[in-house]
Amino acid sequence: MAAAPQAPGRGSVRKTRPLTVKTSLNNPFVLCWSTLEREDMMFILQTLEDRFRSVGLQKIEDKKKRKKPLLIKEQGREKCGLDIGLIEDLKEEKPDADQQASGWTSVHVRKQLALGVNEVTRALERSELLLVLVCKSVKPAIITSHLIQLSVSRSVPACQVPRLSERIAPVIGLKCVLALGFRKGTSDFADEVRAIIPRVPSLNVPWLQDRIEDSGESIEMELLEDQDKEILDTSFEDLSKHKRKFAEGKLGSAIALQPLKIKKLIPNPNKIRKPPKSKKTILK
Amino acid sequence: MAGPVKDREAFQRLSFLYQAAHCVLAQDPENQALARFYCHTERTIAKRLVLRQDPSVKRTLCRGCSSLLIPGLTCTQRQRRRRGQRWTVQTCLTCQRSQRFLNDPKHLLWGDRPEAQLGNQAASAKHSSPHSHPPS
Repeated sequence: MAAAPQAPGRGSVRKTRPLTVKTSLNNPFVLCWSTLEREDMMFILQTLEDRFRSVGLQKIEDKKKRKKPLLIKEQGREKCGLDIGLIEDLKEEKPDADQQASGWTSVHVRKQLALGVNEVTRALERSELLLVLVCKSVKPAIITSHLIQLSVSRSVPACQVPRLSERIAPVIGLKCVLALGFRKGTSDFADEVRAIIPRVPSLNVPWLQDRIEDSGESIEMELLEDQDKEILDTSFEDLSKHKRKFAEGKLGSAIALQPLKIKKLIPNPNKIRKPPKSKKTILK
Repeated sequence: MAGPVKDREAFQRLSFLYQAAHCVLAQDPENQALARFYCHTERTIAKRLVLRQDPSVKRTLCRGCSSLLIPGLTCTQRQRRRRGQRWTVQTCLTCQRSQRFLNDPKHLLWGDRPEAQLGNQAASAKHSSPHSHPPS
């Protein structure tokens, strides 16, 4: 048996206490991305790579990092507060920066994309995107987990593609691409978007019935496949069955109630605790 | 410890209220007051009976106004950099209260670690993180 979790400050523990188990309410909803098949994944990565390369080559030069003109851009921002004499110096530096082709080579192509998690989130909030691609190898997953709910509520197809960042980032010239979105009205990437969308599996969020889903899927009694967690089913009767949702987006039917999920935890034996203040114990 | 759990009905109430709040927001995105009321009731129950909640549940509830946080609807979530580290900042739109989570690829919540589960009783001596037991 493991050592007693309580009373680390006292002397020797006479007898090993039984393990106290803490029960905590676990989340009844499991938000996860849908799995993407291998061929679809390769296809998507391949088309994107080719497209980015071809677009890059059509313009002046390949897209490079933004880090180079960092100093120049900082000085450009301070332009407002500086004297006129300095402004002229900065203006001279600016054409030099353009000649080095730093920054994005084709601005109007860049405007059709939403690169980066924050940009994708903002565009999703304004409902400007047609397709969202998210990198799967993200640690910790909390960085992109909010995109699931966002894209489902806006009914935008989204999928998680492993190794998206590894393949696309060097092509574009960025360090890391965790999320990618194509805005509405994109002219250069319209073919790609149309090719990728049918391959994207639909997302499932339990309380928000997805409009893309079929009515055959059942939401109730989602059991966890994890072996470690204990699931205690309650004897609740279901409120009603899952019905087909109409295209107008009206949720007329009630959604089935998820069973109660309880997680049992063993408290951490190495938890940092403050030494208890009491008259009897000797403070460390 | 299997089967019966103390305060099982209380847990069922919490779970029901949580799901009901989600349904309310799904059906009527404007009616956030009702969802807030449900979550407030849920918090009161948990406080009174001292029931522990999973961090994944607690992160979706605002601590200030106890409204249900759904990114895009009731809260915004951004990645920010501060002092060389990357945080995920969640801001509730009703009370403008923000929560910050550190993006550390090596960090894992105590509840997610395999040694915390009931099945594996051998708890290895790993260093405990201060995030393991967040104050409720």
